[in-house]
Amino acid sequence: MTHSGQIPILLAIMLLIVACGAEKQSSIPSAPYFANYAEARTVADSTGQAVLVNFYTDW
Amino acid sequence: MIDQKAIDFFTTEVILAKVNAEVDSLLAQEFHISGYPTSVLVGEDGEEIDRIVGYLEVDDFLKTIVDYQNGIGTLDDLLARAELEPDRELYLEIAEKYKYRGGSDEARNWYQKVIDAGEPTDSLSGEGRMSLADMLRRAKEYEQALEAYGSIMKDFSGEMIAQDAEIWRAIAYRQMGDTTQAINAFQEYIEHYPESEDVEYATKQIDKLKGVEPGT
Repeated sequence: MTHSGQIPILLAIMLLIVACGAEKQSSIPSAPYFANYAEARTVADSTGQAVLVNFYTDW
Repeated sequence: MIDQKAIDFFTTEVILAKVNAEVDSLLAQEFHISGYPTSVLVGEDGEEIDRIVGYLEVDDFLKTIVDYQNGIGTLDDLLARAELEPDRELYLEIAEKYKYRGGSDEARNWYQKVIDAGEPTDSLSGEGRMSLADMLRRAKEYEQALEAYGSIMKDFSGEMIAQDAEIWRAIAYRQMGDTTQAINAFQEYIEHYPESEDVEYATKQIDKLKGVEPGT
């Protein structure tokens, strides 16, 4: 269940680019993220990692 | 604010997805999200490992995720521990986890265990009884919810939990559409707890229920 595999460099760069987007209300400070669960899932399936899905609203 | 620990963690350990629940409401519904923010850790098999509801400091947040990945503090972990030793606080924790996952029946069972394993008027039973009353109200089982709030008010008279039960009782009347009883209940609340910070809320509710325009 635990995953410690490293994300490929290109993916890491991509995630960091995504992190430059506007920060949304959440309990998580700025960190690389996907704004879409399906995309995150696809990457997780290839890397064997877990996904943390942070649900927020703009209320 | 940039937090390097979080950046490192979500670059190398866990993939992060931030989902606006108003935009992707189906996904939020699928995960039984009832409050914000809620962070659900999903394993590689697509199944939920566990979730964090509300805000945590970054260090606590990351530690909790790592613990979950190691099977510590998850629902399964708590259930296994509850098998080994009777612990009412553990039962309460299990009930909360079920509640946040949308498992109403299981949550009710575990809240009931909290009550059954102690005295009906001790503080943990009070928490359990209040949670059960809230679940009944949310499920629109108003008559039962009102009865539950009423018994908490009686059994915990003079304690904070009785005060909470009284305002929620008024809200339950309002939600069930009984305007007269709701106005009476809010007025009683104001009379019983004139120093409460909720007096302003109760007063506004009475005005709304009477159709009084704000500021008139």
